[in-house]
Order: sequence, then structure tokens, then C-alpha cells
Amino acid sequence: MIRCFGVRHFSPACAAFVRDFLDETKPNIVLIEGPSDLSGLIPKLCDAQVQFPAAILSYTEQQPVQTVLYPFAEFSPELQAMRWAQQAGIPAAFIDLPASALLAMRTQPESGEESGSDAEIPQRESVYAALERVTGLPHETFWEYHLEQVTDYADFLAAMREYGGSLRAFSEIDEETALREAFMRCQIADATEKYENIAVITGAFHTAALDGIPASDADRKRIAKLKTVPANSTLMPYSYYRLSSRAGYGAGSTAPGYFEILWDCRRKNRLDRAPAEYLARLAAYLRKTGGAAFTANVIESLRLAETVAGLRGGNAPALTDLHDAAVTCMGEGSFAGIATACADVEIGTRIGSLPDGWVNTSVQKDFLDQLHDLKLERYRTGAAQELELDLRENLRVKSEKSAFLDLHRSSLLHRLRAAGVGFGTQLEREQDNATWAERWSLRWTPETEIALVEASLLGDTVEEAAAAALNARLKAASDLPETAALLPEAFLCGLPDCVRTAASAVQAMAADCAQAADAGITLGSLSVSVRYGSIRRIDPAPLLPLMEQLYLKFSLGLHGAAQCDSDAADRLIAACAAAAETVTAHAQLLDRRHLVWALRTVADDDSANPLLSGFAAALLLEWGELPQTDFSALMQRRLSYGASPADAALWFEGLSHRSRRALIARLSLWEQLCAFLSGLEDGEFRTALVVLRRTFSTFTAGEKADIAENIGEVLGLGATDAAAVMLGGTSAEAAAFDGLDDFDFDDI
Amino acid sequence: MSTEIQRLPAEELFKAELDALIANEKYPVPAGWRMSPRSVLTYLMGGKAGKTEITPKYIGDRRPIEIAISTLLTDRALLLIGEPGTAKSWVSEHLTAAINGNSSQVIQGTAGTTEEQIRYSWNYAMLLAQGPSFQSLVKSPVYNAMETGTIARIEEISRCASEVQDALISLLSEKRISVPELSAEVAAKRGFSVIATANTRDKGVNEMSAALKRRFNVVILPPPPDMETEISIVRSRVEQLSHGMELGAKLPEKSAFEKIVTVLRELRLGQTLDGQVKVKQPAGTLSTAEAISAMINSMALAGSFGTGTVTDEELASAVQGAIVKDESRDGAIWREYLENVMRKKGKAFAGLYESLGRLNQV
Repeated sequence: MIRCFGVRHFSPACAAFVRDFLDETKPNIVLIEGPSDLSGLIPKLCDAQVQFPAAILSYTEQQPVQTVLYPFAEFSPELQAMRWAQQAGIPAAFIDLPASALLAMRTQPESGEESGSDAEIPQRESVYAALERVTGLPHETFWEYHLEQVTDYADFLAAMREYGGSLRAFSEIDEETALREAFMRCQIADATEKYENIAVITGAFHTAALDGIPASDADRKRIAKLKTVPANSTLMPYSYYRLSSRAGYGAGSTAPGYFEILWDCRRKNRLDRAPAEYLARLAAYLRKTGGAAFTANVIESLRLAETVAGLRGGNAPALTDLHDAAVTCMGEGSFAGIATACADVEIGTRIGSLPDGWVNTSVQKDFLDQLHDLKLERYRTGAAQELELDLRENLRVKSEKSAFLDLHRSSLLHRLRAAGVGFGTQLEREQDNATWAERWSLRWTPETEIALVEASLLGDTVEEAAAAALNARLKAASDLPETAALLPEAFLCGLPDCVRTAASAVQAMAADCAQAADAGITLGSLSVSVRYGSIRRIDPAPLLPLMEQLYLKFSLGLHGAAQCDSDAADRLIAACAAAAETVTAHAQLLDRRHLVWALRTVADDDSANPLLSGFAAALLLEWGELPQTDFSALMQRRLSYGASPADAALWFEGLSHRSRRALIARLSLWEQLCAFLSGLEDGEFRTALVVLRRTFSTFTAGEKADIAENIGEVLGLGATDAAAVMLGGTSAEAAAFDGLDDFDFDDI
Repeated sequence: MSTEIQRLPAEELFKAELDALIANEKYPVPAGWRMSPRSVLTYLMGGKAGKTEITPKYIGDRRPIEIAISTLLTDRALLLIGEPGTAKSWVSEHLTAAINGNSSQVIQGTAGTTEEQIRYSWNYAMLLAQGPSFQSLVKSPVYNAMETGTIARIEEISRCASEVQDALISLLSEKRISVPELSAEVAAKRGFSVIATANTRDKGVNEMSAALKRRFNVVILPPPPDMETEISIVRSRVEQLSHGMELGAKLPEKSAFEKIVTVLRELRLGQTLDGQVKVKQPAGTLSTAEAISAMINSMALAGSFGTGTVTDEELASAVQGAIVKDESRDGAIWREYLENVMRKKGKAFAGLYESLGRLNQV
């Protein structure tokens, strides 16, 4: 005797009634929709130590990795059926296509037009859209009114039969579904040879194809043709958040947190309390996070939800009704106010967990081995702990392994981060520039475990996974700064191959698109990587040609980019500074004359941005590449009557960006500045004053005093007099500055 | 007789539909209501009652209307919030027309609205002659609604002074008005409720006291989500309004609606519809109401001074008037939009662009 029971995945009602069904039919075996090659995992899933949600993950051994995921929650009817079988002491088995066969279909998409999973989604949507058109209710709401809220077993069976039938009537059966159903029929037929009473638990959609339909020869033939691929499977902890984000794929649930409330209330036989429970939790969350949630509003929300449900033909509120009522009464009409509360209650933060050692992927193993090797095991706890690393070779120990222990630790942590496993967070160091030291905060969470399982899809070890993740990001990067940012990361992860790949990606990107500013800033970050590469024991050779190329590109492109607004000029100044630092650090590799030529052109060009132009002059001055006579001429021209006072002041600001001591010491400069300022008319003077005041505001008091002395010299005052004027100021001056408050900055 | 009235109330205008709904009632009718909540929903969203076609009064998501109707069944009053032109007053009028067959119990909220207008006042001649009595009492719409168990409407509630708003609190929570002069108290009959509307662009709803807000369920009517919905809203409203006004012009073609709605949407959203060009936004509101009034204006222009057919000339003056409310600020933004966006829109907008060009040459 074969009895079929149609369910909906993640439905508390189904999960409750499936037990009634099994109590009633008393089968010798329970057959469940699930990968038939993984029936061996059923006892593990029923283990009391497993905290749900948890999932079975199958993945191909070969790249590119394909995956199938079978998630379960406490309120999964499949899980309840497995548990029932275990408690009754009878066998339970999965009867759907083997995961290895499903993966084979995903790997070779020739059978369908696209890969199986993609073809499934639009079809599913159209079924639900059709149901929506007929019932006038969103599918989820319809399900809740007419099935989820049913408390009588017989009523539920009848409703479910109707529902499964209509689902089927509204959809076309695609290739994959037909194959799966043929397979399940064969499995059921096989079971009849050994068992008398058989209970079959599948999606309601499939019951019509299984109930009372024996396996045909055509089914057998079809099954014989099934291909499989080598695949691995593991149990993994799962989270409600992930369940909800997979809702569109049929293997998830939009509101696992809400369904858990329904499940709990149903088990206490108080399903009628679920709406109140939902609203009360919402209010509790709002209060906890500092929002206002009056009890009166909760009561009113409940009343409103019940009324709206009545208006739409439901007996009790569905999630949409509760949600909308809460928005109206607690959120004052707008969803934004209660959005986080809704997410917390509807989705929930529950994360599953498995007994230690059950998650069985190669990455997991590699990770645990490395933790052991690197003496990091004690950091595998839920409390965050700090770890200080010194990457330099420890000369007091004998073996190489312990000499570079911290370096290896650092590489592991960086690799984990690159692979998306949030085990370590790097903390800021107080002392910057100390590239040999790092500070980490380590914390083990269930999310870490999930992420580790997912990393196993990228490669077999942490190293492979990190490399694969970095390579994927390199491929996706669309501009130079984004690509170049991955280079240091590859360095930190200690992945030489990745460094090479990234370098060539940067090279390719730089060849055709780079702007001067990007090139300069990239150059700076490359230089840092090269200089500190030795600490990480990675050969920087692949980066050197790239640096040469970028350097040349920057030098040639600088002048072209120099006519720009002040935002762009700020970026260019940063790029110039980075390039200057690079050229000093790599004197053998890079020829300084290129940059000197470029800076000189910019400094001489009156149409270039004055800020940038001034900065270029300062750099040249610092390097001794701008003879005194040339500088005087340049300054005279910049500060002449012809130039606009604002531009002149900006130029001076650019000039003062670099070493101020060198400027302060140059008496001729102050002479010319004095001459320039005293030659200005009142209006012009005000304009120049605003900019100059801004410039000098960044000088220290000591520097200002020195400048005052210089100016005192120029004006023929004694040094002390000048300083007195400088420090005291006059009331007339103060008044004049007040007058500048309403200065119109539009022109600057 | 009805042709002489500029604007008929909803219950007169849609009498046939309301009667059909009442005649075909299948669901239980709440106390004080003329029809079941479902029929009210059908009346607003459109559908069928027996053989009578019910035109949709509200175009948009059905959810806010469901919530609004349900609210009127509960203890709380209803507060409709939205930008201008999201049909707040329109929904409020039709709700009362359907539920009570009377949409005229309205208080217009202004800065000058007094507490007496909310509660009751006196006919002073009679008060002096006869002393306080029920005959000399002048009942407010809210008073009337309480007595008859119907719904009162308060427009632009957020514009009322706070003491007037506070007067409402006791009315809404006690559900009774006391008249101390007559040592009498009037309790609300079942079915009494209040529908208030407030404008998000106006003096804020936030300034309403928490106590008052708690007496209301707030339903936000969203601006039209897409072009097509907005065009159909503007079209149906213009059609209904122009009947009453005898503008002497034919209803413009669909392309005219498309042009106006496109321009207003682009300026409102701050980018072109294809999302490729950023557009500066003018200071004033550019709601659906502006689109409606621009269309009506252009029809009036065409009817009074033109050929009776709305051309790009009329559209140009109307749309410019709707958008440029403050020449010093909006003028430059508007001209920039004309040159940067509209000029490049091609043939469909060429006529409108030229007319606007002539308008702006001065």
C-alpha cells in the first residue's frame, strides 16, 4: 500500500500534519523527496545535537564548481518525517534524483536551453502568477489563508489535494521535472518489493504524478540514461538570513522567523496567538532599539490586521496583513521606521550549528590543520581576542617554520579574508609605517563556519580559495584603481601567482585607459608593495616593469591633465607626491629626469591649475632642479599685476604644500610676496587675503613667527617688532577680518 | 438642474454605481454603513456590481485602500498623507460617499480654523433671544457625524493650530461631545469616524502631537510609481474636471499627456527617464496635481483664445507656468532643462521645444 502526502517545503502546517499522516498510515518505510545518493545523511540530520537550520551541500569535484543545496529548518516537513521514522524505528530514504546526477545536468547544459536551475525559476514564477490572477491574492497570502491556518487534519488533506492539483494544472512540466518524477516512481516501485506499507512525502506539485501511477518501462529507460559526475557532499550549518535570501529559488523561505513563530504556536495548539506574538515581538524590538511602540498601537495593529484579512477573505491575518497593519499603526504609515524590526522578526537571526567535525570539506580540514600548525587553535572561540603579529624573521629559533610563524599566520588571516571567511579583522596600528607589524582581532562564529563551507566551492585549500576569490575580483574589476588595489592584497595573502596575474591585469588596464592621476596613485601603492615585499618574502620582480611603465605614463600625461579644477588638482597633487616618493625610493630603476621635465612643464605653464603648478615648483625647488634665477622669474610672473589675485594666492598655497622650512628660509620669496600684496588694489587685496589666510592657517605658530621675522626684514622693521605685530594683531585688523565673513567665495 | 452646479459631490456624480453596489450586496454590512467593506473597495478600485461597470476612482496599488477601509471599521480614525496630487481628498470624498452616501461633512483645516468649527458654535441672535438651547446650537460637521454615526472629513489637518488639533484628541478618544452650557453630552453612534488628510510638502505631519497621531492610523498614498499609471491618472482626472468646467476644448491627445508627464517626472526625479542625464530640480512641488492643472490650463487657453484643440503653443505656456513659480530660482533650471534635455529628445518634443523657445526669447 502506497500512501502519498504532498507538502510545501518550509511550511509549519505541513510539518505538523505530516506527523499526523504518518501516525495514521503506520508505514514500514518513509520515502522523502531528496537526493537518493545522500540517504546516508538522514541519521545525522535527525541527531539531537543538530541545531537547525542546516543544509546538505553537494558540489562537483571539477572546476567550475556546480552546487546543489538542500536546506532544512525545524519546520521542514521532510525533517519531521525523518524524525518520525527514526522515532518509530523504521527506515527513511530519499528518492529524488541523486545529487551527482543533478550536478551532471547543471554541468552539461545541452539537454535544456539553459542550465537547469535557470530554466526552473521563470517557470515557477508563472505558476504562482497564474494562481495570483485566479485567486486575486498574492501566492503567499493565499497559502496562509487557505492552508497554513488550517488546524483540522481532514480539512488540510482536502485543501492540500486541491492546491497540488491546481499547481499542476497551471504549469507545464519541463524536462527536468519529468525526469525527476520518473526517477521517483522507479524508486517507489523498487521499495514495494521489500516493504508493504510505504509513505511518500514529496512536494504537493509532484503527488499527482506519483500517487497510484506505477513506474513504466519508459521511466526505466529514461533513468538508465542518467549521467553522473563525481561530487562531494557535506552537511553544513545554515542561517535564516540565507534561507530568506534564497527564497526566489524555491529552496528558501521569505520569512523563516515568522514561520518559526507559526511553528511554535502550532505545537502549543495556539495558532491563533501567532499574530499577536508577531506584533509583540516587533514592538519589543522597536523598544529595544530605542523606537516608540505603545501597547495601544500593538492592539490596534492586531485589530486592523484582522479587519484587513476579513476584507480579503481570510479568517486570520496573514503575514502581509500583519506587516501592513504594523506599518500603518506602528510605523506611522511608512515602512522605513520599522524596517529593521520587520527584518529581525520576519527573517530572524537564527544560525544553525552542527557537532564538531561533522562539516567535512577539504577547506575545513585545511583550515583546522593550519590553525593547529600555526598554534592558533585557542582563538577558535566565540569571544573576540586580539593577536599581535611581528612579521620579521625570528632569529632566536632554529627551524624556518617557527622563525616565520607570525608571517605565516598573517598570510593565513589575509587569505581567509580574501576568501570571504570573516574569522579575523585587521585592526589599525597606532604606529603607521610599521609594515612588519599587524594587529588582528579573531572571532569564531557560526557564520564563519558557513563561509568556510562556501569557500570550499572555490578551491580545496584556503590558499586556493583565496587565489580563486582574488582572481574573480580581478576579472570583475573595471578600472585601474580598483585593479591596482588588489595587488597589495595579493601581496598580503602571500600569493605570488596572484601577484603576477594582478600585475598583468594592471598593466593591461594601464596601457589603454589610465588617467595621469590614477597612474600616479597606483605607482605609489606599487612602490609600497615592492619596498615591503621582502618582509613577506615575495619576489617583487614582476612589478618592476609595471612601475617603469606607469612612471613613464604619469610623466608624459601630467601636463595634459594639469588644466583642471581644484578637485582634480588635489588628486593630481597626491599623485605627484606619490610619484616623487617612488622615484626617490627606486632611483636605480626610474629616471628622475622624466618627472623633472614633466613638473617643469607644469610649473611653467600659466594655464595649468595654479595650485598644481605651485606644487610642482615646490617639488622642483626641493630637489634643487629649479635654479634660483628661474624661480625668481617664475614667482615674479605668478605674482605679477597681470595674474588674478586669487590664482596668485592659490599658486602660493600649492607652493607651501611642500617643505615650508625651505620656503621660509628664502628671503627673496617674501620680498616678492610683499611687493605683490602692496601693489594690489583694495578689492583685489581682499580676494588674495582670503586665500592666503587659508594657506597660512596650516602653518604652526613657530613657522608664522619666522615668516613674520622675514617680512619684518623686508619691510625694514626689527625682527622683534614684527613678531609683536604678528602675535598681537590690531583691533582694526580684527574688524577688517570680521568684514570678510560675508565674503563671496564664488570666484575662488 | 445639475448642469448649473460647477462640481457635483461624488455621491451624486456616481449615484448609479453606488445604487448598483447597494443592490448587489452579498456581504454583511457594518453598523452605520450603506454597503460592505468589499463593495467600498470595489467602488474605489473598479470592478463590477451585477451588470453595472464600476469605474476605478483610485488608480494605483490596492493595498493602501484596503488598509484605509479596514481602519474605518476599527476604533481609530484615518489619516491620509501624501504629496500633492496623490488623490488624498479624492479618496476621502469617495470613501465617505460610498460608506455614508454623504461626502459633505467637511472641515477645511487652515491656520484660522477654530475650536468651535470642530465642536459647535452658537447662533448668537437666537442665543440672545432664547438663551442656550439645542435650537440655538450650530453643530459642526464632526458633531453631526457623531449624532448620525457617519464619517466626518477634515482636510489639511496639519495646517490647523495645535490647540484645534488638541480639541480633536478628546473627541476621538472619548467619542462624545459635551455641551456644558446645556449640561448635555452627545455620544457618538456606531459608525462614527474621521478621515483627515495632510500634505507632506506642507507644514509637517511631524509637528502633529504624538497623542493625536496615536488616534489615527496613517496611510501614505504613494506618488504614481510609473509613467503609464501617472498618465492614466492625469487623463482620467482631466476628463472628469473638464466636464464640469466647460472649457470649450477637446480632450488633448495621449501624446500631449505623455509630453507633460515626462517633463514633470524628469524634473521631479532629478534625472531623465532613461536615467542617463542628471537634471537639476526646481524648488517648487512638481506633483501629479501640477500635471493635471497644466493640462486643464492648456485646455482653457485653447478653448478661450485658440482653435479649441490643444496645440504645443498652449502646452508650452501651461507647463512653463506650472514649473517656473519663482523666476529667479527656477528660471535658470528650466532653461537648462530645455537646452540640455528637451532639445535632444527628438521629433516628439520638437514642437513643444520650439514653442517654449519663443516663449523664453523675450
